[in-house]
Amino acid sequence: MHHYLAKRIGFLLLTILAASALAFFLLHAVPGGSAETIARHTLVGLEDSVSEQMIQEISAKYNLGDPLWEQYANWLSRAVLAGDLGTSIIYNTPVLKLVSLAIVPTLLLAGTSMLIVIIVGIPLGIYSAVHENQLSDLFIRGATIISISFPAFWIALMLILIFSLILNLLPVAGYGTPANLILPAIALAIHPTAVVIRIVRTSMLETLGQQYITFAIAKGLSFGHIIWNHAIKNALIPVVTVLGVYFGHLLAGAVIIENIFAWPGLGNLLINGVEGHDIPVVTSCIVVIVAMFLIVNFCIDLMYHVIDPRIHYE
Amino acid sequence: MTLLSVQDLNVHFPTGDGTVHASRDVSFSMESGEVMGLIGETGSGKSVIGQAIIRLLPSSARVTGTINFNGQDLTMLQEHAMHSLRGRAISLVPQNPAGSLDPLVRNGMQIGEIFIERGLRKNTAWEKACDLLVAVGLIPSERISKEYPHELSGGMRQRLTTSIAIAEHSCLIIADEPTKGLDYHARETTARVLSEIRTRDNASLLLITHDLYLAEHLCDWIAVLYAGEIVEVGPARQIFDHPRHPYTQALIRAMPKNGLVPLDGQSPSLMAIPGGCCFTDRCSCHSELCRREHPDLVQESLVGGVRCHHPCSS
Amino acid sequence: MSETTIIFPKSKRAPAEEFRKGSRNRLVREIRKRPGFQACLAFLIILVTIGVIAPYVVPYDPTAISLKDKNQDPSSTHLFGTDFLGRDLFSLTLCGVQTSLLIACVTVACALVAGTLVGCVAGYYGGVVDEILSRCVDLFLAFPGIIFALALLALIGAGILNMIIALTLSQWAIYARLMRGQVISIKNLEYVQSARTAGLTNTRIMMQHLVPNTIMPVIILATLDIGHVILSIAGLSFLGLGIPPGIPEWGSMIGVGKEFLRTAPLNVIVPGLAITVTVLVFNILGEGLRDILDVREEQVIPA
Repeated sequence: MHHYLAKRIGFLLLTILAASALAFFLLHAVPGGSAETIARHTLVGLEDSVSEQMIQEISAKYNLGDPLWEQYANWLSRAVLAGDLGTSIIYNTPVLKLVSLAIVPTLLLAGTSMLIVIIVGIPLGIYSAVHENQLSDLFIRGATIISISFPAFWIALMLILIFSLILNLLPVAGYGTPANLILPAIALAIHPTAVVIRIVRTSMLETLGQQYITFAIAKGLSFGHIIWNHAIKNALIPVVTVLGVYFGHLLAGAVIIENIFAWPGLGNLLINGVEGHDIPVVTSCIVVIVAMFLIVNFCIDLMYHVIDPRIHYE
Repeated sequence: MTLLSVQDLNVHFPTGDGTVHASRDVSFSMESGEVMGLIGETGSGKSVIGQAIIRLLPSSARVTGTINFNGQDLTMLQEHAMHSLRGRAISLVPQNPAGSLDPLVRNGMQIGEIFIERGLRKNTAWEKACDLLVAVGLIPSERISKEYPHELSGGMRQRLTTSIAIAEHSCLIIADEPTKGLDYHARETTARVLSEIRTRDNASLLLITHDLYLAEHLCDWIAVLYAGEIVEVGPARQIFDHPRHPYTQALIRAMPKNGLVPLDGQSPSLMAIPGGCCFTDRCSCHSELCRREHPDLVQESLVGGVRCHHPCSS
Repeated sequence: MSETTIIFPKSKRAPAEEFRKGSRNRLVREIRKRPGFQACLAFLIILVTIGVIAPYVVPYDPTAISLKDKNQDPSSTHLFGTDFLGRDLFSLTLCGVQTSLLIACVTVACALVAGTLVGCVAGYYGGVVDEILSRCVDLFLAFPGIIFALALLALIGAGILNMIIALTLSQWAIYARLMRGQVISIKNLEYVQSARTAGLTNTRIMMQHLVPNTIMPVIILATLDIGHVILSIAGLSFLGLGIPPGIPEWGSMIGVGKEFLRTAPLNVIVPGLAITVTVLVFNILGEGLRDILDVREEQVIPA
């Protein structure tokens, strides 16, 4: 078992590494680009043109002319050994500091949304399955397929329009109070909740069609007992995996939502970095987001083995 | 005393491609403490009868006729009244033990949950479950009760589902293909367990099987089914020693101990029942009358009956 | 924004048995039973038609700026009003159909071809080839949602071609994973083995046997994916990273319109509804297809 765990953790680290390499190469592939941006932020104004000489200077100073893999190795060794993720070109602060400040708001937002998804999505999915083809089920199914079709950023704007601008109940943007958390968390949660409802419903229906449910009825067990002790547990197993993937999408979706609500999280940092061509920030943000995604999925994978007694460790 | 009386039971399933007439004009009765066998090929409609009695047919089934159990017509009962009979007065040993056992529930709890539902404390329930495991030969019961269904062999799972069926001292136990897919040894053990049921509780056993050896061993009274209808019925000894319907004769001849003589052809599709006698195409002594006219089941009390224009004793 | 599609199969049988040429009639019959699906097909045709003819039939040139008419309410001259540059919202919205549909379809087609190929090769050959390709697939799958496309567009800049490239790279991995699973489930079936014994080349086997028999779930995935890619396009354009300004696109319309959310909400509401309706059509189509192709027996008939 320990051997299995070690192997899986090894794989995890390797994937994070590979993803960081991919992100790094992606962003540093155009040597001139970085130099231009750096020049614009340090030597001349943002709108000024950059001379060839300046680019040469900066390339030499930041070793931008070195082969990519060498640059990556430098970056990686500094990141792992010294915790130095570089310095933001725009803010002139260590990226590590910016990222560590941004992680908490993102986790808060993603975590709250995840809670909404679980608390709302799973019971509604079960309810929908148990009342298959009745009016409530049809309504839920209609609502979910429409919810999956909304763009999340548009829903966010609609929520702002209704609850902030028209009804004046909640703040438009910002961070700090629970009231600030409500709209972004809901906007972010709508799509995954709808998907979870559908998946729970399908899984529940498939489970209810199983022979062991029929036999449970033959045993004379009560309907409530069957649903609770037999159907739900079996139905939720495949859903658990999905929740892991959807946490990743919460992280990705948070990018745009944070931007709309001026939520000071990783997503906002990433977007600002992208718009300002702040390569160190963008690289680090991507690596952190990917790492979080992979770690959450890894944990869910482990949990999966615990939940289903039929699965054995290799 | 007549425990169960089935009269003119018809079960059919309307589908998009036509109607499946799974069971046609089935009539038989059982006394208390009697073992009745329903034998026939796969697709002859035997299982459907068992499911109709315990009212666990798929929702698409259409049932007509009467099923009289202890004075009540089961086809007319409200669902909650039927629910109180299942698991208590009428129990089922399901056809597919592997699929009928919830994979997430330990073996002991598969039995124990019945007692817990009835109000017993968990410790008591678990003890009673272990006693039942011992009664069917699943020892060491302590260890087995803590394991999961997938850790048992096919024969052990069969015994587990049997132990569930006898948990409540039911007066009618329906055993659906209890030896299907079992090896010789498991078959022997299952046969022994089933014969002990009758002596233990004076329960009536409705044995649905295509295993003629088992039927010969256990049954008092046998009904032979072909293409959804009863073609011969009578005391077990008579069926095996002096079969009168050509199909029954062919079945007996096909037993290994009688020479394993195969019967050519296939039973007709339940969606396209031919007019006249269903067995005509495979019958070695048929006449024009057989093709034209559907024979009635000619019943004689105490010696049973046969559905044939030219019954012949071999 | 882009979301991963989870194909939740109802059946675990080898897909080869499910869709044979003879069951075309069955397909038609199934479609006839579902009026919702038929309505969607009709709507799809309408959408495609709009996409093709919109630039020629809209009342106003969508790019015509007219500052004196900015942020007007709906009127007899402007059905949905105008945006902050005085452009007719109705014309803009209709012309946006072409942008979204074209980019999404091209992206999904490319991702499908690339992913199917990789998945087929990985699943069929197994061994080291499978290991390497699967690691590649896992690597791309490690980037959730639009993160990858975001990064790439940050690098190479906005533009239609760039967007197609970025989104294709984002999406191909899910096709590869699906295809690999499908191929693995049928490659040991008899007819594949007999094709091998008969001496057919591997490429032939893959093209003639494996792909046609496993393509159905991939088609379903693609249909649903078009909807998700449209959402991604909108999201990226909303951030200003996707479509260059000047080309009508719903996401960028919302992006510029959000400044005037209180004063001229239609700028945001209308393109959002357009996105929702379009994606809804593809979602219903995809779900309907999955429903239809999974149906084998209408009733459960005990033996």
